[in-house]
Amino acid sequence: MKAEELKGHLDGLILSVVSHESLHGYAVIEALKARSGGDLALPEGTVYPALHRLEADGMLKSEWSTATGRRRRVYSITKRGLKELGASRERWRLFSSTIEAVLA
Amino acid sequence: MTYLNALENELTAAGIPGGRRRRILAEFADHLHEDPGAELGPPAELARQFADELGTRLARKSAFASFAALAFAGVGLVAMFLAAGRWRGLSLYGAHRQVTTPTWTMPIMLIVALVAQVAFVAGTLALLRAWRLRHQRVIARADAVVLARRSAVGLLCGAMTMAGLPAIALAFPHTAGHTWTVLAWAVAAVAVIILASVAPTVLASARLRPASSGESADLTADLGRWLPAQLTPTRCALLLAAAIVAVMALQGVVADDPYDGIARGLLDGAACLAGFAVLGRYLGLRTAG
Repeated sequence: MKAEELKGHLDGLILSVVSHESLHGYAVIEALKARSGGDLALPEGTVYPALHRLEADGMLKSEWSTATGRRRRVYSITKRGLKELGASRERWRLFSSTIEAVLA
Repeated sequence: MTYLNALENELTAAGIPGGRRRRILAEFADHLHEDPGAELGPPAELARQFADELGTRLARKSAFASFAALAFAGVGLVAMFLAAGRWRGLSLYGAHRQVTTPTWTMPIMLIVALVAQVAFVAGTLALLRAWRLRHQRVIARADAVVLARRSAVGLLCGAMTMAGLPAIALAFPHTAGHTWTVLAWAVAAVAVIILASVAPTVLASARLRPASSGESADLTADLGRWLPAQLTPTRCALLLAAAIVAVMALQGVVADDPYDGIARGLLDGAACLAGFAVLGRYLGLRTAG
């Protein structure tokens, strides 16, 4: 799947993977790849601006942690983020069912 | 030059503040440590994305925060004038006729009356533009510039207005009375502190702006929902000036002084048009075309 096709869905995808466990940036990208079976061909760097914006919008929170001597920023979802994730899932269901009805 | 050096340079060029920049670099360094061959993307493109995402949010935040601070100051100002009018017979236009005042009183009060209106208009327009763009993930750089200007002008004029309150108390020491004077200093101090507390956000939004290109719309787009079609910004200003003249003339009639009302209405209406001519383009009320 091309990056262009992911526009508008990246926030929901990030919130979804972070809703399961707190993750640092690299792990978020790895989780996106793993859960899509490697089909999400996302330029890896583009996830970071989205992570910062989601945090600024109060949907994620983050804190420094230290792993093997290196500091890394770990993100976790907030209540507002969970609410947005629910809305994002609902929008996707409506969108996909509409497109499915037309294409089928 | 390493990838991280190039990214740091691009982030600096894009106006990303130092603390945020260090955090981004630490995250990318961690990523590259995990996967040295990672395809993170061109540094310039990443810096642009950070500027777009963070600059958009900052521009909207500065507009909303400026309006909130101005609203607080406005409530304080109105309350003080209502209290003055009710308790002491002090009014913005009339008091100078009843008592002897220093020579600087009239210019100061005229300036206060003028900047108060500019603050109200700039703050309200900042709110309207930010509200109109509230759902956009990334706004155009031109819109961010307009939001920052409206917020800055609103805050500056708001602070000047509130600083005028103690000046009025000093001009009318006997009419204002001790309680009003103390309250004027206190309300002005609190309002100026609140307005000043928003200034860093506005300054930050002036430094960190989205990189996206695009034209900024004019006043008619901000007021779109309430305006008849085909109304141009200049016609809006003329209509507003005419409404000001009419309302103030009517006030004069009600107060049994129609000539005074008409004179004040004409003065305020002319000030409105002058403000539109001088600040119209700067505040994004009209476009270059």
